[in-house]
Amino acid sequence: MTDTRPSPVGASAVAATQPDASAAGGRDCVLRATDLVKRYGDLVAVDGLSIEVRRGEILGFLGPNGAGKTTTLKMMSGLLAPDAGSVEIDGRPVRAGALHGSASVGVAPQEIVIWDSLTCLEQLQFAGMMYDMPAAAARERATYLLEVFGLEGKARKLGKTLSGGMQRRLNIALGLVHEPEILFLDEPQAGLDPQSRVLVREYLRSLRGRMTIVVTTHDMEEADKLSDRVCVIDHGRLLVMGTVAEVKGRLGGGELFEITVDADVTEALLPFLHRLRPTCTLSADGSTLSLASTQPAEAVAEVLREVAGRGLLLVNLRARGATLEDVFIDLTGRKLRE
Amino acid sequence: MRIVAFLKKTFLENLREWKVLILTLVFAPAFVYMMFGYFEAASPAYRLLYVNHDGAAGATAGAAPADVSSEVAGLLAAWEGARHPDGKPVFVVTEVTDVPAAEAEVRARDADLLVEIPSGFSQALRDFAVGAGSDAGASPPPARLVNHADETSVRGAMAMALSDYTAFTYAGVLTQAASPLDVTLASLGSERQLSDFDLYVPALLVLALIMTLFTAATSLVKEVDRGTMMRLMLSRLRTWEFLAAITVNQVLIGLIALGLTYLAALSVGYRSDGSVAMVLLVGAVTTLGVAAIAVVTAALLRSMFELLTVGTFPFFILMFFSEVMFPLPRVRVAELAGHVLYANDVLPPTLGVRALNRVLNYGGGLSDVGFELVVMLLLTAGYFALGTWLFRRRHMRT
Ligand SMILES: Nc1ncnc2c1ncn2[C@@H]1O[C@H](COP(=O)(O)OP(=O)(O)OP(=O)(O)O)[C@@H](O)[C@H]1O
Ligand SMILES: [Mg+2]
Repeated sequence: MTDTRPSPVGASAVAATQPDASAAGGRDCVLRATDLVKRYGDLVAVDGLSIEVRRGEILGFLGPNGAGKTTTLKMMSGLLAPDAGSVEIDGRPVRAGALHGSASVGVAPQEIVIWDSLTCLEQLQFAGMMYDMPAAAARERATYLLEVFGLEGKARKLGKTLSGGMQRRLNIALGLVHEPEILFLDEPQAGLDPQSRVLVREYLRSLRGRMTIVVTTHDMEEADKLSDRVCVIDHGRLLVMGTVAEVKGRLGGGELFEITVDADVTEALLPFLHRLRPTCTLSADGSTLSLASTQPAEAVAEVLREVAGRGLLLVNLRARGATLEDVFIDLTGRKLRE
Repeated sequence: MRIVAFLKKTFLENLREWKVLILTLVFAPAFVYMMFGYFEAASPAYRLLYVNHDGAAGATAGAAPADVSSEVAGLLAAWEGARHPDGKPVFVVTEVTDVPAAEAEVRARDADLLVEIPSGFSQALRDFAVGAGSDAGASPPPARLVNHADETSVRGAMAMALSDYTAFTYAGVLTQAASPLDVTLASLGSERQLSDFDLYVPALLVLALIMTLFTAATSLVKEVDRGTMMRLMLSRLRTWEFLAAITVNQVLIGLIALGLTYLAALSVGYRSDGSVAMVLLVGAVTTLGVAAIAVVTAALLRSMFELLTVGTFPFFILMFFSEVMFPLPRVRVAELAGHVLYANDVLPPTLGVRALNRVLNYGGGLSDVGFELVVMLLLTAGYFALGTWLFRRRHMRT
């Protein structure tokens, strides 16, 4: 498989390596992370990342394995001290590494973090009380969240006796008990069945406008359905940030052409299309060539000429809307991360 | 409120992880029964062997050749009649004929002493009695006994001293010879007869408290191991509240364990002069010390697996060096306000054993153990400070 990428991303209008001043300024910015850096030995896990999160939005936080999503989330939630840079929530700096954190932050970590020997109800109530909720209010909130996450039947069951998916739902609920201003969800959908995915998605959507949510996921469709804005990071750097439509629009204005021929396009076609490179994004998958371009008509005509000229047979030609996955692959390449 | 909620949660978890809790609670009481059985069964009496070469000179005519003279019989009776203060016999006396075999037994420390009664022993005693009564100038030669003993064995040396003392006393009475020296005892023992077991009870009570090292460290390490530390760090819970809740829970568990152990001791006949309030006070202060050491331990460990492997180190150090298992040679390090501090006093349980012994076996009150309590509290504060610092450094910076 070949990965053909156009010029570096920075050139694009939506590639907001610098926060988009008009948009962020126009709307209330609740979290501002500036030039975050985190190193683990020689590895730079987060490399000068700056992000602004707007009040009440759902921000999809995307990136390949090891891109630095979890590390960034930990620094933004005050669980990890950055080596450089700063995080502010509501204009107040976030200090890492001490108990007595900020009640405005809720976290559902990537790994399941629950109390094995407390029942679902007990641990939700306990978590609420750790945020100074009175016992009765915490219990009421716990009961409500158990209902929301379909765990009311498990209220009196110990954490360790739940199934993996149920534990994951409890893991999310634990981050929500104290009704935080900002909720960080690290891959909340992993390991959930379709019903639970819908349930979690619907609930998070219902919070839109009331709670700011930063959510990482590898499920592009999920990110598309859930997010107001998305950002893609890789190697600890921001590649793109914008509304879902803006980000999709990066690829040929959101329109993508798929040209299928009777041969492997990587060898038979791609090497002869370098003329298109400056204006086009090309990627090959078996016998199908995907093409996105700001001047699609000319580009497609050029490809078809090349197909005919090389004696290849055109099997199929179709146009479709670009997906987040297309953009993601385009930005981060096809290679697996080690 | 946070601290109460956390205390309740820790207690619930302890109850649900009942295996550790049960172990903590029953370990020391079980030890009480085991040690009691051991002290009862194992005779503290010294095993004294004797070989009799005395020619039965004074034996009544017609008696069997094995019969002994009245002098030898008297000596044997003196040995057999010797008693410890608690009424238990000092010696178990056995006759042997094979000297090399008996010596081998002493060497192997299966017996403590072999006494050889040479021929002419009875005659010499009789001559001496007559000589002492007459006005004749030179006394006849004294009767002889030969000890075959391993003087490097503490028991061997003790057995020899006690057997010699018994024999001298017997011979003195028998011959009515005036002794040039009269030694009397001014007893420093308690008014009560204290058995070895009685003296061991305070250590067993402290053993119950040392066991809380596991429940305390479990409560701490579990949050780290399971990752829930992160949720606590995000919450409004403060470090001191977190540690205080776990400590209060440990003191409760410690006092329950102490109570159970004390009941076990009572059930085998132990009686104390001390006040229950003082026992609980010393117990609570000692548990605080153990909890503080548990914080240091937990700060150095990351998983429950590490706790159950590496974590047994501090446990054994506490067991051995606080003299809960057996007494250690004392190394003086300082003298403070008329009180001597020893090297192992750096472990609060050592002071706990000493204080409890004073309370339980000598009826000591607050003023008798005040020094120990103050030193324990100071040490505890030190361990807490160290533990908190280490715990924050290692587990609260992700
Ligand atoms: N505690 C750590 N020690 C050393 N390296 C670490 C540590 N945590 C993360 N890293 C490294 O930092 C980089 C970023 O990791 P991070 O967990 O943030 O990635 P991610 O984007 O969340 O990945 P994934 O999608 O797989 O969850 C990775 O290369 C990872 O190996
Ligand atoms: Mg991650």
